Amino acid sequence: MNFTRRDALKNLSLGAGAFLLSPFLRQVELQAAGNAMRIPNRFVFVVKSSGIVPDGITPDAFKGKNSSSSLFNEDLTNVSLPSPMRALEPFKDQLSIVQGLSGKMCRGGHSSWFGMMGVYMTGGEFDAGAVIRATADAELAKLNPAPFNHVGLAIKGKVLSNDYGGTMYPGISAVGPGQELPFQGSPDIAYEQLFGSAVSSSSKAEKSFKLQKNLLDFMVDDIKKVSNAIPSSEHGKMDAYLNAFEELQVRHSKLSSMKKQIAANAPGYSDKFTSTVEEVRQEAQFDLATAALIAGLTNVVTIRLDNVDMTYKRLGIDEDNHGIGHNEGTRSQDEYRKIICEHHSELLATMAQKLRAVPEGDGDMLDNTMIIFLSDSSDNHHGTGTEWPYLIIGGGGGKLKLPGRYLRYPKYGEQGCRTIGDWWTTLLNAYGNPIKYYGNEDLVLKQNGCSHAGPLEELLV
Amino acid sequence: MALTVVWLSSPNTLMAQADKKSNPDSANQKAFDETVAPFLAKYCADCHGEISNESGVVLSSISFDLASGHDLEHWNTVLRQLHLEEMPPRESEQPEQHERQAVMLWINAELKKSGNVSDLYSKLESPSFGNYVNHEKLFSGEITAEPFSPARLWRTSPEVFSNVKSSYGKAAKDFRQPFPLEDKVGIKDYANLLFADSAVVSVLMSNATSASDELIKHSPIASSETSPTDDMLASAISEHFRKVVFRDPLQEEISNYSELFRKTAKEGDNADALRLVLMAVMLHHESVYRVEIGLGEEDSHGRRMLSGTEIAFAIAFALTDRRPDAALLQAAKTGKLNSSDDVRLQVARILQDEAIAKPRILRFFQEFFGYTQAHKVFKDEDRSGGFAYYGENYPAMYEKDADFFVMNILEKDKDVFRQLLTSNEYYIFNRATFRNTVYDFYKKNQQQLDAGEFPEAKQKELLQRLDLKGWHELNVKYNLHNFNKGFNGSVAAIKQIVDEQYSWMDTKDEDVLSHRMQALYTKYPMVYDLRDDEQDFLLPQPYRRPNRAGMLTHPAWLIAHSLNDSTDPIRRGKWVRERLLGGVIPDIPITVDASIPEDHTKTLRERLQKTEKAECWRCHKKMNPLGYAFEIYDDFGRYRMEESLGKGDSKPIDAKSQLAGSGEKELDDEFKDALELIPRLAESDKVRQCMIRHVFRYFMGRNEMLSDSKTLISADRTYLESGGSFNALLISILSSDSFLYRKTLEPAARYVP
Repeated sequence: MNFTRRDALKNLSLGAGAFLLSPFLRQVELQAAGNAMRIPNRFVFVVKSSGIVPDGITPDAFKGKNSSSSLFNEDLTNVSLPSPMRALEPFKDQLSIVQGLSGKMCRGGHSSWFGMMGVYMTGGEFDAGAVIRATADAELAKLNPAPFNHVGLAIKGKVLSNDYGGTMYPGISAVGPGQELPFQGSPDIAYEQLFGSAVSSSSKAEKSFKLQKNLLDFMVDDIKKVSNAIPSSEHGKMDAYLNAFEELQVRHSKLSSMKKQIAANAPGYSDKFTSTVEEVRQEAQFDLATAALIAGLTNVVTIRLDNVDMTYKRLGIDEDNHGIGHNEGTRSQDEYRKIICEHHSELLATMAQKLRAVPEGDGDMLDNTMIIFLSDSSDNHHGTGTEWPYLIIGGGGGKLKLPGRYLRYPKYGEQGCRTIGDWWTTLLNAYGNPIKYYGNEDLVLKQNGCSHAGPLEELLV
Repeated sequence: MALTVVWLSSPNTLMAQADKKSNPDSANQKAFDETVAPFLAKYCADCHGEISNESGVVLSSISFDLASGHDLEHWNTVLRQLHLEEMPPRESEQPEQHERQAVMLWINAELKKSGNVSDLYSKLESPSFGNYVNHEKLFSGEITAEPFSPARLWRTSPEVFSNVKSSYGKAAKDFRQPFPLEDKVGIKDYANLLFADSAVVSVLMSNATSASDELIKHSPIASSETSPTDDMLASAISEHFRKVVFRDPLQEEISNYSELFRKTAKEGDNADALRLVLMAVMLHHESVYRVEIGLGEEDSHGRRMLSGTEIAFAIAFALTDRRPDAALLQAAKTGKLNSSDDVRLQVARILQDEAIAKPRILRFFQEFFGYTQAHKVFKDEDRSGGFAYYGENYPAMYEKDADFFVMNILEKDKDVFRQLLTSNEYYIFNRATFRNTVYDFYKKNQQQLDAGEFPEAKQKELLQRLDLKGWHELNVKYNLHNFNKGFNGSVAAIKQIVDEQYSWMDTKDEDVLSHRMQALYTKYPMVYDLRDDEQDFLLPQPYRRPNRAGMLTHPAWLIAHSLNDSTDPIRRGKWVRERLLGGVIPDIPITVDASIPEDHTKTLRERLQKTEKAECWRCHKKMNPLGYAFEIYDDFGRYRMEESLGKGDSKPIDAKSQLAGSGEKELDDEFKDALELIPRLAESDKVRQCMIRHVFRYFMGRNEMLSDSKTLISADRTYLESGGSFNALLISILSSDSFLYRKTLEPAARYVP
């Protein structure tokens, strides 16, 4: 690596095209400079379709108790969770439920697309629309770099589509303006991509990982040669290109050095990873996400859990999520939702259990992780955005006063009501991004003088 | 330790001060004492001394030990103010050009010693700084320099990538756009602003991976166990290279790739090796950057002309977003792309050939006017009285209407700029327009059609009524989505529409059936001041709309330049000042609270009086008066006489104001509203020249320099002599020395007059 040139690049002012080192490379440099590695903050975003009905995740003890005009903030550890969520009972000290935050600045209907984590209005029925900024999950990934900075895993693609397998673009997460995060829809391919440098179902991935070094070396040599023929005033552009490949070289060698660690934590390969049963594919993606976090391959994973065209057949459900949302099928919507909630709770509990089993610092990995379960269509199949429920598992490194709490914010339009923009601002602030407000403001609230547009102070430590 | 100097009193005390402190480079000190200190004392001290610290800037204690990194911020500001001639203020005594230069040279040299460079020069290359090049000088004819563009790399545009993608076929299934442009208003694709950094490379890598996986499936080399011969390998490499890089590989390149293959095949197999080679070719720097360094001979002015091939690519990318067509490449190969006249012929050929799509031309007007931002300004549906976002997105459709407004004027190609600013011939297009016209056509020809007769002449008539050159244009024009996408003009297709018309409109009333819109579109024409019951959407169009004058009163433009819940006089005024009058408005100071006070008893204009305080008005006087002209339209683009204040109250609109500081005496006058202001602007030489400057920027991918003066003057003259032909203007610009010649210069050197 040529640090001198890179340092020069950093200082070189390139106007609007100024590029920065990727967070990962910066971290590697810090480590090289002898700065000790801190325990990273880890995040898993689990995005379900068709809404999370607020009542469905509200403990019976709190139903109807909260007034609509003030913050209801109670200890969650002493009450029972709704029965479909019983798998999460053992994690209640690390569990939190946040309700009542509005997101009217996002699109309603089947999906808010990038709005859910980007806090703005975008898209149509089938089209995800424009990406105007990095979504909050990607912002958190930037703050917690790793060899795979932000992993996207999907069971289904766009909200209304039968896309299946391979690289997918569900339209919910973006790493920057105009740059959607790619999701891997095939667990077997994801397995190779994440763990292939150390283990593999065949020897294929391992070999191609090794050979990739030849390509990177070739590109670096080639670009260096060409640079000599380029006018000096244009070297910055060529250097940017060269720099990008050098970064990949660094990642390559980092992964090579992690081989033991990766191999030790990779899930055992089984036919789970090639299953066509949706519920099994969900399990497979959860396994991969958990193992990738434990192996240190990534600190942030976003999982596209399902879409409205998916049917939970293995759970005995005979109607797709869209039908359920429209009250079709042989059972009531509520019954269907309970069955699905139970299944989701089990997936989340398994992940939490595995993280809890790994000691870290004074505690375990779950203490330093936040698993955030949310929906891209807020509170219902056709989301209204009036409230956007979140279920959170994990200690989050103690950066927020959340674990073990149940919070319900004042109703939309009431004094003291707050928005999902405030929520994501809180997370970003707590984990190192000092942004004053993340996202678009709710103009109606603003006009009526009850938009706070800032972090939720009561959550900050 | 910082060396502080005091120059307020006299250079003598200054030296005395300096002597007492540390002793840096004495040559540096000498230069400072002889040039910089007297300059600051003479021109800056009055306002930026300790007592009169105007705008909080105090230069009396500035350190001249800049080379050690002291007061970098301040010196950068001084450099910028001097370069842009913003300081000393116009009304004060002005330094001689050589005095200014000397101080700037000193600052630049000291900055360099400190290991920094000023960001001024890269900023000057960004679109928002284009107007800082003096307009009067540029068009005065006094500049005799021979024009050129800097030798450069220019990142591949997103549109070119999309077209390249199609040449990969199935292998491009998972391709993503590696070259997104920032989604902002104005001309975006500037050669100097765009880089291929790691974000670009990560997308390129994943594209290359998926494409090569697919490509090796069909390669005999990959499936063979035995090692390919050198010739086999070379031919496979060349074939792929031509497809991706658009030229034959050099011998050296072939041997490099072959070496990569051999090395990798030893560690893996043929398939692995070929896969890497294919990827390496796809990652070739020329597929990322267009190289325009000027491969011709150097002339007596130190410029080198682009080679024939370079020119072929430059022309093709300027107009078509595609690689050069066969005729261009042939011309390059046979030496017929060696002069300005050669280029003129080729550009004229492409412009005349209707079969060649030239999407770059319309995109210029979209970026220049900025009307394609309309769909991003969200309006509350309840407040709008019928604006729709679901099912159909009204603002996005108004943008298309505006496209047709532009295309109609371009098609006539006469007096183009004036027409764009003043014509009231609008298109009001949507799916219902299309359907009603088909229905009307059916009714007029019912007997014949019912008998199954549909002679060719009649079919042509339908095409003409729909304003189409062929059915392939149908979806482009009417955006039919899934509903009538397959419409092919057959009798069956017409009858299907007639049936749908009956069932969707749920009536047999002929008048309603051919003149009204189905529910989804009923409110669509409201922004054109049409009531629900006075709509007539039969083609052919355009329609003349009263109380409108050109693009700046088009709903798409008005919405794009509005806020979510109100109009935006400041931004509209800024637009006119910058795009039409060549004015410069500095960024909003960070200390300013830019919010407009809420008050339900006042109009927006009244509330904006906040900006008339002296320190605000210095800049706002350039914007607000122009923006007020457009207050005769609400934020949906509807013409209005009154502004509603909420709770049922309203006040009359006051759009009267005056234009000042335009630089043209005839323009500086009072006006009643936009409808009086705009025709005056359309008559102005300066406005026309400003528009030409923007055309230049877009097609050159950079700001103009003073040395481009000859190119611009000649472009302006050509435009006038051709009766306002945009095509003639384009030919002039694309065959100019600015377009065809290159010179290697460091950024800072480009701006030294």
